[in-house]
Amino acid sequence: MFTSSKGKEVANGKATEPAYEMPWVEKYRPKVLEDVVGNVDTIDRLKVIARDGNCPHIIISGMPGIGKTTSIHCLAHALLGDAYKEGVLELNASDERGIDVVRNKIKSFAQKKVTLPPGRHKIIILDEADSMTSGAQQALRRTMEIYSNTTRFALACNQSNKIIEPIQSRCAILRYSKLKDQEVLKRLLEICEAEKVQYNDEGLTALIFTAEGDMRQAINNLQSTWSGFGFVNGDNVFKVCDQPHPVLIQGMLRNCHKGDIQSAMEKLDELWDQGYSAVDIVVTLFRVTKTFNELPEYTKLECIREIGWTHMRVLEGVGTKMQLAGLVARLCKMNMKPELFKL
Amino acid sequence: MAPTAGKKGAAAPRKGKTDKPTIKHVQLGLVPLNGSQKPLRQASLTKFSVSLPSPSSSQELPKKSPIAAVKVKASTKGKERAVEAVEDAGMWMDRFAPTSLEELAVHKRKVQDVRHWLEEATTGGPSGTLKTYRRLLALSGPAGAGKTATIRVLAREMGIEIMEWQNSQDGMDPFGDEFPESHSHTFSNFLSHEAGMEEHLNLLPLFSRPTTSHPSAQRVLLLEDLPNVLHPGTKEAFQKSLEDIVNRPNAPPVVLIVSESGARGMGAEGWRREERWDMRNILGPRLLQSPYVTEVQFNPVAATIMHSALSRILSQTHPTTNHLRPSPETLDMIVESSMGDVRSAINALQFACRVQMAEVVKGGGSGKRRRGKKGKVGEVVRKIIEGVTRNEQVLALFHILGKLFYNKRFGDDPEENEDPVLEASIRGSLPLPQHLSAFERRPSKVDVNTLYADSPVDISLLSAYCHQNYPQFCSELEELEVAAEWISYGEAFSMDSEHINMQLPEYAFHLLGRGLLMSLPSPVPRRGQKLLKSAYWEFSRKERDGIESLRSWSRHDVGAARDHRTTEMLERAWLMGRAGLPQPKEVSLLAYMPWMPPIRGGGYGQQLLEEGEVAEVEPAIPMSQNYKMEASDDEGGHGTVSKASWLEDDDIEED
Repeated sequence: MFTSSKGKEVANGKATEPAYEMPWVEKYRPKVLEDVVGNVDTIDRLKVIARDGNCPHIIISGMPGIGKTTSIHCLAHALLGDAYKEGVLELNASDERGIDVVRNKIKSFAQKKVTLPPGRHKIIILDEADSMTSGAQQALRRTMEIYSNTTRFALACNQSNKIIEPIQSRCAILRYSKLKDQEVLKRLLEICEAEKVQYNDEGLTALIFTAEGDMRQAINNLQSTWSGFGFVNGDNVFKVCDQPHPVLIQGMLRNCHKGDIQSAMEKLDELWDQGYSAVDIVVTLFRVTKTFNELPEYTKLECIREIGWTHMRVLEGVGTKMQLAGLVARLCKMNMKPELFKL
Repeated sequence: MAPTAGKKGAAAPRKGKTDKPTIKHVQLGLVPLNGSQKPLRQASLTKFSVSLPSPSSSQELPKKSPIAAVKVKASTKGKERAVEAVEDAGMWMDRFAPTSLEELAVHKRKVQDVRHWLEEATTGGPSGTLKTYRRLLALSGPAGAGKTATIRVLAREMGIEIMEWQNSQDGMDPFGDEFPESHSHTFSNFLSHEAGMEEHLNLLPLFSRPTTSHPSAQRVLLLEDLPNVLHPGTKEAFQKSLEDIVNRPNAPPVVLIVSESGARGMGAEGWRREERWDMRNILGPRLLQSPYVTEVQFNPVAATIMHSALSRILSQTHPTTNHLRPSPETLDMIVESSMGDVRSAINALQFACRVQMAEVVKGGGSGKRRRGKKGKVGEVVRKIIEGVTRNEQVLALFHILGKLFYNKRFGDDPEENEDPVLEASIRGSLPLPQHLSAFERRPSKVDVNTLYADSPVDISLLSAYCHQNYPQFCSELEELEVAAEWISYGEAFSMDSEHINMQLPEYAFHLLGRGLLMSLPSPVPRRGQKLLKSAYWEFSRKERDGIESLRSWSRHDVGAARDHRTTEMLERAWLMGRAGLPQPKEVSLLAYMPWMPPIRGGGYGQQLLEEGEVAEVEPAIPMSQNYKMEASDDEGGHGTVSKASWLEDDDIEED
């Protein structure tokens, strides 16, 4: 939720601030399939389609910011070329996509006559298709079938299982996995070079940590850090992203592991005084914990459970420092001798 | 012609193909036909597309059935000719849609069932009286099981016209969709339902009126593109108008096709009863139990049938066996991963063919990848299939389950050469405090983070499968306890949580995965464990059936004005039993619902086999080889299932 909404907010920001520099996510958005980062196997398959035409109905599923929509656009451009404008209908989650839209707008587009070379079809792009109601999806089902000789559908979604089975059955499903850190890094370095960004390694690591495989967010954060501070280092990135510094959190976890509640609480105080909300802290805590290899397997598991409980409570509305202090106390207690608690 | 149409159609050799060019598509009254052409706007708001043979053709060839199939088919035919010119245009699932009974990838018995119904509905059967009761045929089953194809092929062979309901083009839908649920709208909402219904009914005389050109042609109304029945009001109106049609003896019989989701125990499923897209919910109990309604349930297509269907297509696309033709292994893989969805399998086949061709063209000279080893090619193809079929979830699911349940750790096998770098990176953890030393484990080979990042599997699905299967992999009662504990923690985070936060399922995954790894023995003893499909769906379906019929009993026999709660109804039934009165048989549906197989009698294990989803997991071997698609009636498999489930040390015997 966080990552995606954040990413998109910034991405949409361009509309309101046309005078500013173009967002790098747009500027460096791949135009051809070759440039799309990651998921090599899957994109190879799309290239075959792009070359040969006769695109099947496809569903691309995967996390936000890994190039689903971008690759559909690239594919559509490659397939249709100049006819892109009249040959493509794109509907976003923000567009109205109720049943009547499916039955009217989509149908009338499907019936529209567009002259295309053989083996090419009109393409209807439904972004974030999993947000469509299942009623609307049911209505889509027949349309897909009836017009399949002139029109093909490309659906992008976060979870393919949110698409009803009859539609899944009609589509080739391509799943994009999360981008690897190296893949994100490579792209970031390219952009840094092109934009002459000054950075250090720590800064890039921080960008990758905060983005969690979401390319869009990584690039947005890079741009924000660069234009805000003029230098990309770890501290600046975390300031821009407004996230607690993971090093601090790691320290806290180490204290907890030793059962050193004093120091752990001091770190929590520090974070709290910096103005981070309970959600910020607990989310970062989880992110750090799950990849923190210093913790033994058992401790990690118990930590995740405790953090999870606290996260749930915070989401339920009790985003107080008390909850976090309780969490820290439990994490410490776990590692202290049980005899100490006997009266 | 009508009375004998069915038989003749069946006996007639596949002449339909050659006759096709003589058959024209005629527009009947309110019929927009071809997809590409602008539909007529009808005041009636509803459109039925019908294609009929031209009079001349039906005279010349009286027994060749008028093609009832609608536009999809029509356009495909035209396409077939074009295809010769433009290789590979169009989708194979359209191009190779079955045209005759032999080509139909559906179990013969189901086809027979549908055929009998159609015969009886049109002619009244041998006694001629059944016509009254064959008013609505409800075809249900998972997507891609061949429901629509069966009807179309049969109708063609039997000379029955299909009139297909299509939802309207116009903004106003006869059944009204998704009206905002405000008071101001409720009335207009209601009105529009009424109006829609009237419209719908008014159409009926049109259909029952004999057309001059074909006095003998039988008609069937096909309902596939349903209105939004997830909307309660729409559903009511829909059911009402269905009832009306059903109760009109001179209206054409109706065939209703519903692709049920979740029939494979996969995919998103609304947990709330009223949101389910299944026959029970769409028709409602009253219609389902009506004597006029027959339900035929289609099963996922069996592997053998699917195999021959795919081979048929291949023999048309690649008449000679050459390097372009997908290998038999590829075919096997497609069949296995399709889980009985023939449409998806054809899709995958088309895709595989194209990618393979591309590979050949691309790597013609290099040959490194292709010619080296056979296994290598298989690997490439497997990847393709995995990425293309919709059932990647299945493969991934079993992959994850295997990873978790085999709980591989460094040092499992002293002989094995471990990757020292990888091991060191994991070993670098701080020591556990003294009192927790019981939880010390050798470093795990399973990286839960990567597993989660690569997992397309819905967490609640994974959790259901884990819950079904974990006992087999435990050796001690204590292990069971701990594992169950962690599964339940995981579940606590996965319940309907996506509305709250995207991150909660991740907690669930970590707790489930890491918890299982922590609680299972290491190494896990291999006892020929087999992964079973979660029984949850089966039981929740049974429970729904039980409650549904109990409710109708309660209404009917006890005359209760309102719906009672299940417990109340059960109590009442139980009291009746105590008082020596005959208990309604519905009670037995609910009375015994074990979550585990009975210790004696293997009815339960059998069921799982029939579902065709038994798989043996051995992560080292590619899943597809072990993944058994089809229910076999071999006794061995049967025995192992019941054995591999609960209480394996108990002497379980098959009755």
